[in-house]
Amino acid sequence: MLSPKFFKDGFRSANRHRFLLLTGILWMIGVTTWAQPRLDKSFFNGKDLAGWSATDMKYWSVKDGAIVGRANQPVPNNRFLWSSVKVSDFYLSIDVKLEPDDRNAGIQFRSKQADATGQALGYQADMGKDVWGRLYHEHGRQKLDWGDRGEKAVKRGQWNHYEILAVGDRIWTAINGKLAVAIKDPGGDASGQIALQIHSGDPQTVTYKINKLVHNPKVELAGMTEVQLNDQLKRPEDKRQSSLPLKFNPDDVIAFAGGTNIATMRKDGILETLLMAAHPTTKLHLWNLGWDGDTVYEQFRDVGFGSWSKNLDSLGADVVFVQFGQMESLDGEKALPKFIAAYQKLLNEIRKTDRRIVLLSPIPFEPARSHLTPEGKSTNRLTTAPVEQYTYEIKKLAESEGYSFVDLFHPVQSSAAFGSLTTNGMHLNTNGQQLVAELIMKALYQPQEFSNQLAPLRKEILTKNVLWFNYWRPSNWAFLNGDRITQPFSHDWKDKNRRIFPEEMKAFEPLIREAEQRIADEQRKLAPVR
Amino acid sequence: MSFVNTTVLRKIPTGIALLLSLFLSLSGFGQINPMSVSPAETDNSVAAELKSFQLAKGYKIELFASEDLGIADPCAMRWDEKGRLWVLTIPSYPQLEPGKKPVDKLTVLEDRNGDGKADTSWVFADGLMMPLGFELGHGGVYLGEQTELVFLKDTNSDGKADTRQVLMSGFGTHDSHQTLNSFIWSPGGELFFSQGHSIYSRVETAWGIEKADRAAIWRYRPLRRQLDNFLDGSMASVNPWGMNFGEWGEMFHKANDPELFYTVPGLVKTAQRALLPPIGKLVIKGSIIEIIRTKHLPDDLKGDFVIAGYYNNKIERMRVANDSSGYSARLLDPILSSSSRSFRPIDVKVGPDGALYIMDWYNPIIGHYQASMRHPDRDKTHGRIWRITATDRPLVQPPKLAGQPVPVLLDHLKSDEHWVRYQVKRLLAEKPMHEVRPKLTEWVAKLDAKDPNYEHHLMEALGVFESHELVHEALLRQLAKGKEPGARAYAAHVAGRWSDRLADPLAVLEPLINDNHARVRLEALVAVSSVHRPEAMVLATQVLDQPMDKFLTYALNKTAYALQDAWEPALQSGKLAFKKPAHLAWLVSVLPPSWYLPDQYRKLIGTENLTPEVRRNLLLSLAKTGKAADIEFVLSQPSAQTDAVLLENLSKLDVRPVSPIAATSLKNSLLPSKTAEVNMAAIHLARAWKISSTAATINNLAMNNQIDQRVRAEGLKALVELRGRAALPLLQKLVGSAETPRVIRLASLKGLSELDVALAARATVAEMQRSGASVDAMREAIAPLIDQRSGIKALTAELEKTALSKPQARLALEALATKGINAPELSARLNALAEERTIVARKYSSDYVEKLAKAIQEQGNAKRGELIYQANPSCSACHSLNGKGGTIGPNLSAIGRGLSSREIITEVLWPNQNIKEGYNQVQVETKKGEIIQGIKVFETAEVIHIKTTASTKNRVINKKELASQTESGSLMPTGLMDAYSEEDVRDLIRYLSELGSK
Repeated sequence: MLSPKFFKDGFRSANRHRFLLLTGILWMIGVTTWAQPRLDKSFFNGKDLAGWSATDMKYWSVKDGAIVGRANQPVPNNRFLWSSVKVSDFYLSIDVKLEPDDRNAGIQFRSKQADATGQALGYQADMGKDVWGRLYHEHGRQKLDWGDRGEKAVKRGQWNHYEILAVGDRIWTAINGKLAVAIKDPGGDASGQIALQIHSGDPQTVTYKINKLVHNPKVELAGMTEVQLNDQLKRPEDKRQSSLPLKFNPDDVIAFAGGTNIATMRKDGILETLLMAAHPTTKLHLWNLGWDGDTVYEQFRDVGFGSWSKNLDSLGADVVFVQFGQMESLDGEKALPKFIAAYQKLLNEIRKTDRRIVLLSPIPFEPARSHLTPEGKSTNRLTTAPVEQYTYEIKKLAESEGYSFVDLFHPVQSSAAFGSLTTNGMHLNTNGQQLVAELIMKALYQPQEFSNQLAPLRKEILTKNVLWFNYWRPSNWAFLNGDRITQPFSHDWKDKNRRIFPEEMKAFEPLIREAEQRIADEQRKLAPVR
Repeated sequence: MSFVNTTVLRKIPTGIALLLSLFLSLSGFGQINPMSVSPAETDNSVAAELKSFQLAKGYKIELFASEDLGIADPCAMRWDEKGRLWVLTIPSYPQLEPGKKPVDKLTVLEDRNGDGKADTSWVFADGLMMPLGFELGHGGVYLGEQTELVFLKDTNSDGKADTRQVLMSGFGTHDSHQTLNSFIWSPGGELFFSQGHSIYSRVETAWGIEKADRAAIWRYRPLRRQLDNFLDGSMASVNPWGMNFGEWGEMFHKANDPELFYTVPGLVKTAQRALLPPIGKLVIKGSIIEIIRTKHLPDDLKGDFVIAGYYNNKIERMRVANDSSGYSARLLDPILSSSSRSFRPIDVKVGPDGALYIMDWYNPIIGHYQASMRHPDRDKTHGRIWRITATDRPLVQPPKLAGQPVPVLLDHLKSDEHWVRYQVKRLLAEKPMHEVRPKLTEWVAKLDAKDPNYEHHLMEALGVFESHELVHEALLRQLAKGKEPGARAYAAHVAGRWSDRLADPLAVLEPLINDNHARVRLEALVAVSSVHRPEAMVLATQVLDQPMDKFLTYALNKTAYALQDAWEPALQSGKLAFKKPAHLAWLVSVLPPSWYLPDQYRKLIGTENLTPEVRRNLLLSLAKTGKAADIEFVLSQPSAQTDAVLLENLSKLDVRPVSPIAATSLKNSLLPSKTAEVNMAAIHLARAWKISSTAATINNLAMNNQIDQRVRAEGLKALVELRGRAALPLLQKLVGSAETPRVIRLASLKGLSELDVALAARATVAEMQRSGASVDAMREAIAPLIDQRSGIKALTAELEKTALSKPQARLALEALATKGINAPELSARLNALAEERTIVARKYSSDYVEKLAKAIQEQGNAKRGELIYQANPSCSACHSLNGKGGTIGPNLSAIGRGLSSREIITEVLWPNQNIKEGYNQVQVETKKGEIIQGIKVFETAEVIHIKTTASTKNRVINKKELASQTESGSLMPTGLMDAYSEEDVRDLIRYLSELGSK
């Protein structure tokens, strides 16, 4: 299940972005403190349920120093008992017993209440028949680590010793001293509460005997050191992010990021037009953050602009189309490992539980178009650049990291028009943009042909894009929020303390909002008449 | 009734003339220059402007075109082959208003009736967004527009562009007055343009991403779509604006600042950055280079560089002469000057008739950042093109070029008129290759070898081949053997350009790099740098066999970096053989390979005929990498006892192991028989490497009253370092004795300050009383203590106990001011000691500025102001006026041209309001507690260079020695005018505002 939508007013997110750009307020970066391990004595007092709550307390009690969840009747839906303690980096040790032993329960952590009925959203260390020692993401991404190591370690019908260790984006669990879960989950839930579950279904009793909760724990578990534990880490299994087609929700913020081929899309607007046309009744917010010369290695931005990833965050991007690899392939095959490592690192910066990321492969070069006359031909690197190998590796990266992937390389290369799709051997011309847009739509299972019928919609999109570009990447940035803001240039000529440049830029916001409304109006005209 | 905003009244002495000693928020030289902000002229008519002109004898000036033909805010102009003038106008500048459409245009002006005045105009391209430069070519227009280099074309011949193609994109736009500008074709059909100091570009090309940070020069080869940049990092001006090529293709460029550059040494492509030395400069800023090559203008002007002096409203003139492998330039009297502050020449071109055409931005404000983006005085409606002709000399009749066949065009390559040849080259470049090639080959074959200009014709022909990317090796080789040095130099240049297509470019270049003419060698060297083979480095170093100069040295250094990827692996695997051992020694001395071993250095150091510099660098590298035995070797070298620079540089290395033998060697350099420079450098080394066994020898020097006092002073500083508090008795003895020379007393004070501020404070006050007879002397006396952590506090405390005389207190206050130090408590104490006079702290308000400006205009007395200025010598401590004074603050010679009196008021009274980057105050504190403040001129990861008021030389501080570094505000303290009456301030600013207006 997707997380709630916060951006009812779509432009609010862009406002926020601008606010950040103009005022130079930095994103509060979580500072890692090297705090000492701390035993939390307030977590459970062993006597009563002080500090615990549930929507219906009748299921929960304390007996012999353990928390008991008991249902004498069939349970209509999952029940959770929430601790008020917030955890981020922690170690939890619990002995648990299920009666009868074929029932299901679990320990939520770094979770939050999904709704008023106390349903949980977040990680769950699972227990019960066929799920012992597996990691589930309740109400969200679902199966994250679904191995059977826990099953093998469990003692059915008896007390089982359950341990959870979560540090940063690394999560481990162990059952009876045997490692069960080991995942690295960048962008996953970083903090939240702990809750104990009794599953919906037949009557049951679950007894949770809490041994200890430690904040900022040492990284050791199941007799293994941190290095050994790290060796066990793998990526979560949820392929929700990587599944195409993508579902676009109302007010989704969709961003495009990459180099010149992405940046140029703003002037053709074909992909944007097709996306909007495919969702005639859904308001979508499309922003092009393409920047000439951006690579996985460097995304140059001037002082005060905010980094590539922060720009995406401040926009509140729900869906990000990312394209890299074409320029990088000029470095040849030997640079491929470096490229993939840098790409992975860059994507980790923008990875979020509720953000869908689509990797677009690079397009092939057309070396014959890199010169104007036969005499102008030169030994540039377009002929030898291994774009295809880069494409393969990007695809593998997408698969292992759980991103969507769209192969543009092969269909462009096999298209009849190949050889005439770029202006200079590298950058798509209008025909190329159209082909690529249609290929992307096809990959999204939203095939849509570009036709004259879409011209009015496209016109509004292009108008918005000009406004957006002049707003997002205006000239004179050095004076707007760069290193020259103290100069008289951006100030009122009389009242030197008043900065008129940022005020002027604010005037773009209603203009963009109006342009978006005109786009929505054009979209609606394309909706089928009932 | 005074209009002063009086907020604070207190007593201070009369005598203190805390004048404009530090006038830092303005600029007039060197660094990034502000352009000017003047009040609008009352009469903006053409007639009024004409009246403002003062023209050199023998010329006439007339209007060619104005706003009447739609010319508003013109920023660039280019001729076409029909003699029409294309003008780019940018009223959208400096910043597009939200929701508005850009209205910038490319307009064509035509003089149909031939009366020397444009009568027709039409718009070729409209709706452009603040483009700053363009050039015609390939049947269209190349235009630099914000992030893009675009090509506009009129395909249906209706006079309007109807297609637009983006050729390259990703140029920076961080400052809209520094985007792509100054487009020009090289003689070989390459398009050059430049970007300024706040521009960061990332452009995707088939060769990879081209990155240019800050000011850079771009070269675009259209047929190959190849884009390269040079001199980025603002290595040859922070705002290049205007390039040109000499008769043999020598490239020059003009900074928007005063400097003029010979570009060629900088055309070595490498990420390694180094400042290119300029070849001459104007007094103040100016852009554009037009080289006079027409029969119409007086013979005396021929070959001179004409420059658009937009800042001081002049058309400047420079004469350029040969200087070894490069040139040097000197300023002559201007051709034109104007008393109108809106006359802003920003482009100069000789026209088809041989007249000089001046593009006039016509604007009282040319400052991009010095005035508000929406300042009402930014003129958006005017713009003029002026035409200067020589009286009594016939105009040139331009030939018909449009629509002419190739052979006719080729013959015009023989024209004396550069205008004709430039147009013809461009037209030939856009003709179909299959038409050009046979006719060109034929034309070359038919040339008369006895024609004195034969080789120049060949050179022009080669350029046409180049513009079609047609390699003609035979012609290249012929020119490479030419009689004219220029011909050989141009051949060398082309060999570089074609190096990827010539079978053996190095074979062509070898004789040229050994040419007897230095300029040929320089062009050959730059060409070699583009051949990425190990042997290219071998060839490049052969240039060392003949005399070197600053241009050759610059290019050779860059070449070592440019070719590093090629030569270093070859050298390591032993595959590289240099012609002479000295060549290898030079290379290693410049760019020591990381894998080089001490033994290899020792062997190289043994090479014969090394220059002192090469030897020194090798010894340094050895000292850096070697062990104790190698340090012994270095210090036992004869040069270690004669080469002060070597010892100084050694002292900047990290502490190295020094054996007793090495220390003994160093003691030889500490003998009084050595030069003072060697003594001092050896002392510095002993101090830096903490060689305590030399302390006794240094002590002898310090106590020797026969030798240079500077040596003794440095010796004392070293003893403080080597002996710590054990040196205190010696210092106290020296500082307390009237027999000790003053320099030594001051050095002792410095040592005392480092060791014990309380002791130092007592000694300082004694010194103030003893020798503080002038501001300078007082400043010297207080500097050691107040430049030390807690020094100001200690001095203040000491002055509570020990009083100064009133005059001494006044001098001390003044000394404090010239140091630019804000020390309120110390000032208060000194004020109390000095007594007298009311001071007024003025608070900023726009009303106050308006009132004062009015008073300046109506009652200001410049004569009196000048007296006030001159009454205090400390003004010139920082500012230069008519050639006299310091350089830490901006030149005030023409400040009145640059700034209105309102601006000057703000700069003088509240210097922190508009601090320009490049003039920020920096204050650093060393780990030893020394405080240094001034202007940061340069900073790397390792060192910081600070310009201080204390010395004309920059202080270079190793960052390892730094405890803290803060940058804030202007070095010119607020409140310098507090001691002055309103009348004084009024008259002083009146005086300043008139500077440069005559």
